[in-house]
Amino acid sequence: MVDTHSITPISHSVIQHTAATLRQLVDRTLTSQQFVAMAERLYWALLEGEYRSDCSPQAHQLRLTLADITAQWECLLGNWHETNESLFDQTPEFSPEWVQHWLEQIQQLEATPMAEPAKNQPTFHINQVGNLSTGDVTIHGD
Amino acid sequence: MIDLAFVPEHDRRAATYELFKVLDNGRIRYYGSYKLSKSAGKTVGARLVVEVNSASGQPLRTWYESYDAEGRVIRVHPKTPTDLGHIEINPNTGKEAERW
Repeated sequence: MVDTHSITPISHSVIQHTAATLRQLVDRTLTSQQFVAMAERLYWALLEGEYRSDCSPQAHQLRLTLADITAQWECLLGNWHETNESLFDQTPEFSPEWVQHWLEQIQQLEATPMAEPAKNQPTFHINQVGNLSTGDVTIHGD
Repeated sequence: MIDLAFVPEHDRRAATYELFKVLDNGRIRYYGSYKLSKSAGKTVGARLVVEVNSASGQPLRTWYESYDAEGRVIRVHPKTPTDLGHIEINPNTGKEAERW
């Protein structure tokens, strides 16, 4: 079986957007619940979505940070519910220290140069007619 | 018996997720990074779980699992295909105890 899905690397703008959203959380212009909704979408994109095949150090670190954010939300909700069961119309907020820690992690990624996508990448189609010579390896077409 | 070499995207998932389990029903569960809780309470950690059809490689459902200090699942939060909210699990019986 040939895996034909495209490989989309995370871009610097994705990391910048994540940092900007975390800053909104620091400034309290965004609730933790709103932030987690964004974090879950990005985490999913990195696990099973458009960035799933990105195995760069930046993508790896972003997965770990987002895994922490989303897992902490589940833990916080559970532990909050345990002691505030009657406050069904309220939701907890992340500790500012945790948010600052996540922001620092993302800011480190912001400062890390991203690998430039290769230009003029050779394309290869499995049903291409003819032979494709790639140095020592020759792939014979149909 | 599933031959993992023929499961679409298994190699990628095995490298991305922390661990996986092959189920008897032809599905595979991939477990995201386990994270220790920063908040105090009986929930001491949580992680995302993705259940995949081994024939197609397609994700079938996802949920968060929360664990107690003994490593037992005490809560699940099904996210997809439908968010069912939080389901408390009695760790002694494995049965649903409460929903919220």
